[in-house]
Amino acid sequence: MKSPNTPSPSQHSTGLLVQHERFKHEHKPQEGKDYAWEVMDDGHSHLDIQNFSACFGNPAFIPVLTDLDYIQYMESMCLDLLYIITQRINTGRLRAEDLQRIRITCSDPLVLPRYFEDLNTITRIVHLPTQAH
Amino acid sequence: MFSPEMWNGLLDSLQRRTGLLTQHVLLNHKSMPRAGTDYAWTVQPGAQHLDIKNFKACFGEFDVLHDNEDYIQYLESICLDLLFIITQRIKSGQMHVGDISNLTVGCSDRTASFPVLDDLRRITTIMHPPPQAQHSITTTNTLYMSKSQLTPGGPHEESQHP
Repeated sequence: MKSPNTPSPSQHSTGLLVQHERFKHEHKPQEGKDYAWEVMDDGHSHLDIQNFSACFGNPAFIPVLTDLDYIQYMESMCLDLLYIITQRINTGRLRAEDLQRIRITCSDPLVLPRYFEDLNTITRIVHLPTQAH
Repeated sequence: MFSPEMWNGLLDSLQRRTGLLTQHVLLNHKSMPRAGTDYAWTVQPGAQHLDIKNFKACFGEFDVLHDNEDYIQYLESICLDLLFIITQRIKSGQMHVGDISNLTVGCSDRTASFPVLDDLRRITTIMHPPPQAQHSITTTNTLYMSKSQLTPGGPHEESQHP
């Protein structure tokens, strides 16, 4: 068990999620309203984004004018997703190993599929063992 | 010395100007991942490929994680590190956000933690529309607004690139 006074070994390279919550989540996405989390009988978790704007911020009101603005929005989406997952973990309803059995969907029709595609493209790191020889 | 109010104001100002990614870089990237050494970028017509050659140099240590929150913070860090690498590419004018759709990211480092990469991919793969809604969407796809309707002048409109 880790002592409360023991610095987290990953603290040096992480911790911005807390700042993100402080700055961006004046209106936090609400479970049951903005997103739904369902645990199946077989232990799989299903997170459904029901209100894109409430969960990720409304792109229509964000000055997405430049490439860097867009990258910052991608950054924000990553942290928003992790914020939702962290809330689940903090309340003891999800463990890190449960991430192997999670499925995420978005049922909000007023959404920007391209944003999801780009987010997935950036974070889908494929192992390339043949190039490691 | 900064008072708490001044410090919060400074952080708030920094956030509004630059975003958390810049803070992440300032705070955490004493040793920046280096293009060519820690990662490689290959460009071919219509295709871009980023290869992570040194997992730890790009994303930090992963074998010292203790609990659930450490793990989530590590995933958070990977996201920001990836975006840091891409941002460097964009800032140097070698890439536009429109190129993201032609991007593949691989990892040729055999020491990498692939369960971590799998988890990262899983939590950032948002299926839209959800499988059960696909039929209704194909018959009523006017429900879905195009990006240009929602974000006029958005980044995918080439004319808007700076």
